[in-house]
Amino acid sequence: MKISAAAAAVGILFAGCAARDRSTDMPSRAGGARPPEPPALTEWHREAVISRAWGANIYFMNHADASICDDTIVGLLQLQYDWLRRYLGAGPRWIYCHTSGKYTLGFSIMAGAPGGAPWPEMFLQAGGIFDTESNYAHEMTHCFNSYFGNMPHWFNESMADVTYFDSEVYLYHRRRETEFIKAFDRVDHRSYELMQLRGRFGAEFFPNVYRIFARNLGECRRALGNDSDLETKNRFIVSAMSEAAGVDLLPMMEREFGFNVKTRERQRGY
Amino acid sequence: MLPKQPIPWAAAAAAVLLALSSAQQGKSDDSTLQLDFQKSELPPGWQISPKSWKIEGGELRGEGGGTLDRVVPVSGDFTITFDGWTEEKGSFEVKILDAKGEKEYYTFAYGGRYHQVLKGPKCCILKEDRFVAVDDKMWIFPGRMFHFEVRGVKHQFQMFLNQELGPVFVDAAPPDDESYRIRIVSGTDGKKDKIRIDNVKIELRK
Repeated sequence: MKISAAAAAVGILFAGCAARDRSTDMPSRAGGARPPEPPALTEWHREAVISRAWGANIYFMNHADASICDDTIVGLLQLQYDWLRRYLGAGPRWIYCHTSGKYTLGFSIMAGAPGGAPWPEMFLQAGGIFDTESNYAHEMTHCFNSYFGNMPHWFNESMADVTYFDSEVYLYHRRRETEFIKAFDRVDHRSYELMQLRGRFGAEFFPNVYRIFARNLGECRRALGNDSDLETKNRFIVSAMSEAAGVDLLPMMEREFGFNVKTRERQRGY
Repeated sequence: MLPKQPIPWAAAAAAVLLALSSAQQGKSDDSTLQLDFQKSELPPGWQISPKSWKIEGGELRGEGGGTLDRVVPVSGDFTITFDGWTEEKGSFEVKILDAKGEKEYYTFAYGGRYHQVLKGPKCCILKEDRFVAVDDKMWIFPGRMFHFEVRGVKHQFQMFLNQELGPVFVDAAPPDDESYRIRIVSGTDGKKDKIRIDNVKIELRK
């Protein structure tokens, strides 16, 4: 009896969700094609999807709260996508975005994992889903980065902080650059090194680095591929940054940041 | 076609200006203290302990733990570098002390022995007697001459080992004293374990 009651309760719960699943009945604003459903690789995928919506490049899955207006989130994510696409010059055709109340932090899964989704996925905490400062730029940058390869932790994470910084300044206009950059100007900041380069070479520096990645996409994907070793990845990234800076950055990075191309894998403090 | 004569004159003038500028900079409080151990005696302002430690073969050599002290207080930002070697498992530390050399403000430790609290040989920073930064992936080992570097700029501290970044720490509540003393400490398990130190350099900037 108890089992039947529980099953009935679950049935009611899911019936309720299905009734509110706007995406099954109503096309999203873009009204166009949408990507295939991502495979249920993890426990987070297996959480019930309350509703779905999609835009030009975003496929949003709401695991959290039926009251969330999905199209609003798709609009915010698409804004961030369009800005990053301009900033980084290239990126994935689709990004899956999940939201749930069960994530302890924002995270992402890159595309191309065995049995995984064909496009990168990001997972945002439902509590801050309407706040674009909460990991929109950071996690979406990881999704964009996976378009170029499997980047080492130090570059992947710090670039996500760089784009967060520039999004705050240039997309959302919430922060003043000259004041905000001081928050990153301390040696114990995890992204100290890339933010130092951002400060010294200006706002166009990292977009130019990614233009070099995109211009040499085949070489970039080989150098940053899963089969590539850490030194090859690091040398490729430093080489692109040096080209963008117009000066060989490696001696400075070694001297000033203690950067070793053979061993540097993680961000500062990690 | 570019004029040929004015350029050397311009270059000469620029060189003079640069020289003047450098001379002016030399008058600032920036200074460099160096110990290359080429003479048998330490210059004034330095002290070693125990007395059995000796300058030999162009380096400082000792057995067991010991200290090399800059006994004259200094101030400002600093970069401290030196080379160190241990025969057996050992450690090196750079300590920043108060001007009297009585109180330890910071310790920058390069561990090469098992540390019971840190559960392994690790590099770490202590403020007084509290650990404030630990790097699990960095330690030293016997038989290799390591290059140590500690930088302090505006109470932001960084440790480097063989020019690779180690622990970092930013002190939001630094000591009030502007002057401080510098001590290099070596530690070994055995009293007869050999230690070598060379190329000690302290760069100070106001």
